[in-house]
Amino acid sequence: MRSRRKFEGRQPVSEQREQIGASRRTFLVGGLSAGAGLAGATMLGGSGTAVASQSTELAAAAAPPPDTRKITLTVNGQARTTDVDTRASLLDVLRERIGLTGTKKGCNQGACGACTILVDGDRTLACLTLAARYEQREITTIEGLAEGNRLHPVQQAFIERDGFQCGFCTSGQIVSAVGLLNERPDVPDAEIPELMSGNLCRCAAYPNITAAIRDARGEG
Amino acid sequence: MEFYRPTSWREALEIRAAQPDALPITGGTDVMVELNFDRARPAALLDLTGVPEITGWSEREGQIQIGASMSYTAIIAELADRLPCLALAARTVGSPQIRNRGTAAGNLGAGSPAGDSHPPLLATGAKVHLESVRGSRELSIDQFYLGVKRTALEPDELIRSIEVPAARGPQQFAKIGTRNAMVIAVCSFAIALDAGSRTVGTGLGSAAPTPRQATDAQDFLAEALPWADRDPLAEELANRFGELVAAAAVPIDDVRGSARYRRHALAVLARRTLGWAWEEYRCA
Amino acid sequence: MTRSWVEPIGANINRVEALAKVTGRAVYTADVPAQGAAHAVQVPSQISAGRVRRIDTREAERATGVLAVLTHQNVPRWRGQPAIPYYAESRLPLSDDRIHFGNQCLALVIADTLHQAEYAASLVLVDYQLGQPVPNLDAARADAYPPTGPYPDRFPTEHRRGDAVAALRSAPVRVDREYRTATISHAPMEPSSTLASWDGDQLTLHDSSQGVFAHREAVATAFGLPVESVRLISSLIGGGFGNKSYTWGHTLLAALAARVVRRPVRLTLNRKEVFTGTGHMPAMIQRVRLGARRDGTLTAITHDTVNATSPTDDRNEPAIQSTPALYAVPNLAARAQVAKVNIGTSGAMRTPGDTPGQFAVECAMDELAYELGMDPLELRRKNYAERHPQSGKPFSGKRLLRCYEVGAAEFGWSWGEAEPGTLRDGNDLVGYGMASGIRAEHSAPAAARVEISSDGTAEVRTGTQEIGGGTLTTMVQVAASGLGVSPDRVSIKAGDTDLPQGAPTFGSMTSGSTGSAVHLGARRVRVAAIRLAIRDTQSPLHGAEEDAVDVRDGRLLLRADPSRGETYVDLLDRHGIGALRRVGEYQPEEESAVERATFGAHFVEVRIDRQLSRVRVARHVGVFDCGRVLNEKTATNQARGGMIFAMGGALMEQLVPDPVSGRLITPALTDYHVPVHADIGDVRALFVGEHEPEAHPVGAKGLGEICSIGIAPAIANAVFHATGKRVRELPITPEKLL
Repeated sequence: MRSRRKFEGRQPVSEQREQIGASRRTFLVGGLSAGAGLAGATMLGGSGTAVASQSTELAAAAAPPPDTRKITLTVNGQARTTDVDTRASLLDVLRERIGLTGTKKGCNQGACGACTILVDGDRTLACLTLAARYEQREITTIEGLAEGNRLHPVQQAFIERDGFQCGFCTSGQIVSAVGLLNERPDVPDAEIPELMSGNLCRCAAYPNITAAIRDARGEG
Repeated sequence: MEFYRPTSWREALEIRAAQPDALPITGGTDVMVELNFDRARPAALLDLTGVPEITGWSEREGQIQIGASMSYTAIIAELADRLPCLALAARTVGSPQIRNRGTAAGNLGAGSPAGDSHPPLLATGAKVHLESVRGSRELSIDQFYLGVKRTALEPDELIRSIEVPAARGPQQFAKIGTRNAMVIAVCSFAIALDAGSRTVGTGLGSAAPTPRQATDAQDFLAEALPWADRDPLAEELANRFGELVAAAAVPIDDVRGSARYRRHALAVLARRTLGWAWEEYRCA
Repeated sequence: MTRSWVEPIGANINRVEALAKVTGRAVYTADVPAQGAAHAVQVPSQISAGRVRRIDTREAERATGVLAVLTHQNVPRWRGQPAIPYYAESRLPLSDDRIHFGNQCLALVIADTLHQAEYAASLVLVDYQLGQPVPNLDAARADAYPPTGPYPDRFPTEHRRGDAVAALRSAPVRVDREYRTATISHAPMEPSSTLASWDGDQLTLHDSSQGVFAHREAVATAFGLPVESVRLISSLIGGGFGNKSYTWGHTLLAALAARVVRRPVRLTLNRKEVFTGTGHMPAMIQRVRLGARRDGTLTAITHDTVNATSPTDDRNEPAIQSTPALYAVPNLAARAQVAKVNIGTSGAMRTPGDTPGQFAVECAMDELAYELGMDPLELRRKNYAERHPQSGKPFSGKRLLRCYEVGAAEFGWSWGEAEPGTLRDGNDLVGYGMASGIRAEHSAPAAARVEISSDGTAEVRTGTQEIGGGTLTTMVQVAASGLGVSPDRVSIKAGDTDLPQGAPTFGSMTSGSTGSAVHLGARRVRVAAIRLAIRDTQSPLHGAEEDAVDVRDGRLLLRADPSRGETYVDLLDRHGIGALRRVGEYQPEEESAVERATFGAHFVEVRIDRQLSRVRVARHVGVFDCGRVLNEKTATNQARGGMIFAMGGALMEQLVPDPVSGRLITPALTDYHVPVHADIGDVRALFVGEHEPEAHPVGAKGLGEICSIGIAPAIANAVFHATGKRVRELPITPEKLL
């Protein structure tokens, strides 16, 4: 059941419509009262599948809002204590709370690999990882691969082979490649593409990425 | 949202009983998508990864018990010899990242007809061990699936393990997707030959509202295969097998493929996997 | 101390931003730190046609952290309608209660945190009045019509020469076919993001934008502000492909939200919104008719297209635009129509018009070749146009014949040895196909400030954007070349309207237009320095002729006697000059005596599982004429990427609308399949272009678009060769080959 949450004490509602732009008059925020006096959380009107699915979503929404807890994560060897929504993914916590934005959000559903991190050395999708569950684990992000100014061999190989274009998937590609070489230090050439297929690259720098991994494997 | 992290199986069952709306989570690869997209707002999550009793696997009298939190990656690494079919299927799940976290038990819990674990579990005659504070029960895998994303799991139950007989003959798995990897099955097929009992198991994925076996095809093949003589596979036999497998399918047209293509492809996969499995049997 | 001097243009240097990209330090718009920023989330429509009868935001407003909820009922009015296409739609967001497509924004929730905003967005209740959606192009086709408005003004809907109908009637050999292409999506890895903040009437936007100046103008218009009041900054961009060429509603909404809540506001799209609300390449149906003599000489081409367009805008996908330029055929008629579908407005996607248009024409050419029993490559050579067939003007450069020659040799092209459907390798059917591509070379005014400092470093400032094409690197190389310094001495500032105006990073205009501005700016600095030296009695170069002086590795020297010279550092130091700077301005010619275009040729080998009909591109050779290649390393990467991008469109990509509701069924990367690592065969890109100053002063032409044209037809033609079956509808999924 949805609990009636207390009104947050914001400013009163304004019905006033105001023009955007040069005006400096105060725009009152907080909500509107403009005649939208619906009775409750029921769907009104309409029919058909589209509306049915909306009803489902409305029903699903009738649950308490997220709450927070304090957690301590070990990221790139450093302990990081932060308040997080219990529902929050590790990806959101890394980016929004800890300020490590190298790990990217490309799809938020495990379909692109841009958020690949290592958890205890294993390739993991940060978007499919509930932050609150990972307190006791060693988390490594793209920011934690280099040792000081010394790049990880995979990072260096990506530079030399031009293993990216726009670079948005690159953090995930590199971390994934590091994970792959942890799993299979001698991975044969023919298996690299399949074992890297969890990381999409829309620029399709794939041939260069594969070449970079071959180079880095040699150095491992 | 409450967050429970039991450290024993007993504790997990008690939480499950007390709060049936707590969503069990192991790998999180399905559950997190629901959370991220606000499709599910569970009152609580029940994290099972801290429960020691459901990790890893064990073997007793030729039966492998796969713990509910055992990842696909672990299945591939540790069970490829005993459960080749399941390991082959696990190899095709999503990406290495998904395989590192995702579990066969989670695949069962989600109940999607496209799940890659289902065909091998059906083909090998697996059993699902379900437990609650009320007690435990064992369901044969074909009784577990009730409908699209509906399973026999009761609200207070958890999947404890999956029991799969160690291979008693060649096993194969094949899957079709619109690209070469990182793909949900257009359709998939598993076959397991039991050289001892001279029986055949099959499993079809993305071929019906629930994963299913092709029982007519199994019976036909068990009868028709030249088990003793180990003759090469007759083409008409393979074709008939393919037809019977296709006939067992009730696929739909969707964005991943047409019903027509799925039926056709299932017949092809059935013939092909049978061919591979039979060659292996003959050469054994 | 002399290093061996390497000419910077053409050198295969690593990308200047490579270190940032491999260490996670590269900043994209969603990564820009924003202390105290609120977060905005859009409330999507669950239906694709109809109206909002009522919208109840009370619950959402009461949710924790919510600052405001904007709907069509309370949103402040927009002050102006930005010009199409740099604002893509004629309807501005939240303008009224009408719903034109699924997932359209119906409300905007602004809250302290992203999670709070997402949660509150789910609490907004919408009472819909369901309309009758037109779900797809098939349903709309009967009502196709010639488009009107700003899009057809920009992209002509008719081309004619001679009498195509009469010529077709009398042609001894004819091909008349219909081709279809699916709705496809740019699907860049980075979902667009905007961070907006106001300081009085000054608006600063960080925005994932492929054209900061065009977008600034669009935003300023919508808010009734002079352009100087808006600063638009584009950090590194996580893939464009046209997805970020136009401004879309979220950019305006972020700015509006920041105005309303009087705080900076960040709005980052989710993946579904990228698919539904920021453009796509629309579904098309095209009819191509070819008439030819028995020897293969083309006598007529007609090309009639219809594409899906949104209810709000007549955007014609310019698929006919290059048809007049393709072949030396005397009679031609091409016409474009649109048909209204309940889908968001389409946008420019790599490569607008030419990807679908040349798919149709180049497949028809292949069909004609088989009809004639002629090598498809020979058919193209036979009809090769030395001059532009429509205008009669010469090209600034056209090395398409060389593309054919080099590509055929590299691939090992031979025709006629195997009948279609007969070539096998194990269980695979094998087929070979080819096609060519052409892309008109566009230009835009551009400016760049180049300076050399007395410490020997140089800097380029130009408001271009880095979308992955290697722009920052190639612009550094162009500056280094012009100045005569090593590229590692040159830095670049880009992606900001406070900089001199660069060309937008779309339409393949960067190398030619922005590159020429940088080139001209750098040359001006070099000349100024040389003049300073030769007039300076203290300079070793005093009295030398201007033309006799060269600059290499930061040292001005006499060509005839390289031992005589001095460095920029010494020269500037002696004159007390901190930095010598000049602005280079590139202005495209209004009327030109030449036609400019880029060219490509593709040769493809497909392998098709005989029973399962899955198509795989095993080998692909693409050869391009894009003028002088600025950096072969980045160019090869970009070209192969473009070839693979187009392979995705040919074989697997499609946004599928539900036939009843009209909502897209696959707006997710789980089902909108782009190629993955495991799909990539042997892909080779080669270049045959040469320095072409007649095209642009810098001698380079665009690459990002030509590299994606001609692939789909080459693959489709190879599929025919492998199977004997013509698939005239993209993508070529297995069921179409059953």
